[in-house]
Amino acid sequence: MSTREEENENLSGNIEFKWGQKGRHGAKNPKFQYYESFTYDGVDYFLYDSVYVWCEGQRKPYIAKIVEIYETPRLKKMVKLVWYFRPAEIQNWLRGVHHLNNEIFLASGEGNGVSNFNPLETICGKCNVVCTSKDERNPQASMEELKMSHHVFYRTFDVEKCRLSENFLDKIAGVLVIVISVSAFAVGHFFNPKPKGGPEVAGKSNSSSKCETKSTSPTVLKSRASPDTYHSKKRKPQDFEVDKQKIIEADSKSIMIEKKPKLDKSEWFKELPWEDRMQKAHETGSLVLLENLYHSLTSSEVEDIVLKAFKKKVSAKMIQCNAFSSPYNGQALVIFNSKDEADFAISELETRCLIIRGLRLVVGSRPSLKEPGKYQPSKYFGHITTDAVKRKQLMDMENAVSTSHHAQPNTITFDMAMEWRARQKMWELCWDALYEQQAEEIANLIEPLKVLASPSKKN
Amino acid sequence: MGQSAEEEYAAFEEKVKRTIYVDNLSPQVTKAVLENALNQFGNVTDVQFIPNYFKSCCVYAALVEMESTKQAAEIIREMSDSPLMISGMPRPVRAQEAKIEMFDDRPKKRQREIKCYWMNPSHKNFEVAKKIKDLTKKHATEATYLMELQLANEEKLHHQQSDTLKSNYKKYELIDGAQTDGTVRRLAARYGTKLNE
Repeated sequence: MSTREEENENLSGNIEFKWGQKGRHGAKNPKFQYYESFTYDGVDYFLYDSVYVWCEGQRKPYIAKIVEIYETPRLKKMVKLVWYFRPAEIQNWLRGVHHLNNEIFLASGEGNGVSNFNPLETICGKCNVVCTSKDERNPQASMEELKMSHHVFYRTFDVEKCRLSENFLDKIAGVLVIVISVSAFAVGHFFNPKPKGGPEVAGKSNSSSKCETKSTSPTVLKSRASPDTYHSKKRKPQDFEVDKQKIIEADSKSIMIEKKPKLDKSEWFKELPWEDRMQKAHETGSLVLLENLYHSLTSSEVEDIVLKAFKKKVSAKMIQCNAFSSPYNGQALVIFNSKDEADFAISELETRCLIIRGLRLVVGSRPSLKEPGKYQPSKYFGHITTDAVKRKQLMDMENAVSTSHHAQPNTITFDMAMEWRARQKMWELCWDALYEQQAEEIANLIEPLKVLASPSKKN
Repeated sequence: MGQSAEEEYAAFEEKVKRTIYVDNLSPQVTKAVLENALNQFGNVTDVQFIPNYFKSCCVYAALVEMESTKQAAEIIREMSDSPLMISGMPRPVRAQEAKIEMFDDRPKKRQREIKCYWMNPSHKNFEVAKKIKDLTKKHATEATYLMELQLANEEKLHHQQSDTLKSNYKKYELIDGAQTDGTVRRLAARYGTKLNE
């Protein structure tokens, strides 16, 4: 593989590159020379490989699948990539949806974010993605393959509808009508030794005998790579590579499709109502109840606190108080992105102490929620609906027809209402007494903390 | 920006004053029912139920925003003077002034940074901190327990009243029956008293 040219390449500080098998069907654009494979920085890449794509300002590289490899008449090396989404990238639509730790989602549908034409140099490594779809077109991966994989996917994310789906459409990204349907599975296909037939197999076997392919002239490579001072693995995208952020701001010059939707996604799509997300999070175990907060905190402030304390972006909601709520114990529900995050937060809150404004120590736990949709109307006491009462209503009171009314002092209802009133008053006193006592207990405990906290801060 | 945030908060505070908190509601009470019930006393502009997500919580309560602070105050007085029943009898609903923390989506009072920090187990105050956390848990349990007690107590009263009503009803039935089948007239004739028709 080390031709003289490549050695020169390396000496001059450039990255090794070599074209592989030429593509047979260059019909899409006759000006372009299509390829089936290439070698870049010592790694062989083939059509339908999954790769990491480095992008400036992004902590983690994007993951994508190569669906076209070509060279432009001006000798620019390009790839067409169909994106995968990491859960974090589309977390706004994943709230509560359970996903595996290493699960990613294939982009589908039409519109921005499905695919891009990128300079080949933005590729910074191979990624082992296994398709675990139950779809019959997909050869099932073995346990070993799953263990080897960096990522798995079995769901697609529709960028238009912003929905996850387990059904693979026959076309993903309108441009690639058939290719992509094959290639969607080619992921699993490529890493699984069970070939399913079809064009990629041929491509694969052909390209394994890639040695005899033509390598581009060194000058081209040099000029391609020289303006780039980045580490070889982290190639800076070329100027015509369009970062989606720029696009969102203001960009019309580009002929390229934008990169993944990322920035202002929240404005594109409506979020599920809190209750739904909360229920889902509850089911997946990513819901956490925080206690001993200040009542004055707002939901967004709780989100800020969690962001600061755990470096996690979450969705939080302060629990609305009622007349029986403790005046000292503000509560909030927090939806973490996964069960692991929630577990981590709870254990951190348990083993260490998170202190808000010096005095409130946050307690975290898993809440026990009411089951959704299960109302217990029979459990409300104090509304008696026996036959006797119905009869009595007719007998005693004309105004029984209306749903709400004041009881007249000369009826049995009034007496009973008064009994309830007395009971209400009694419980009000009970609650007051309880909270008074609790306040005292808190004050006793917090006193040393207050006293000690101030000098210790100075140290 | 800061100005508008303050204005927003002031507007919110006004809204809080206009709003009454109503509880002791039956879960069957709907927004429309509550609106109708309170429209007798003023103009309801908004009704919002306070959601209760927790298993241990069985408080059905709502925030009812009235047209003016005066109306809100009047309703609270009115309802404490004479028991108002909504969608059932005889348990009356209870009204009181709404508090800020009862509201959902309240604006921030001002742009402020909430200071928070982690205390590690090595810190000398860690023991105290731990105790406070335990106390919080204990208090939450206490509140849950009191809620259970209250509920049990309500249930007891419910059954008691239900029994009273039943026996009352029986008494009425007995008198009714005696009147219709002529027993009363016969008894009157026997004792020589006159019946008031």
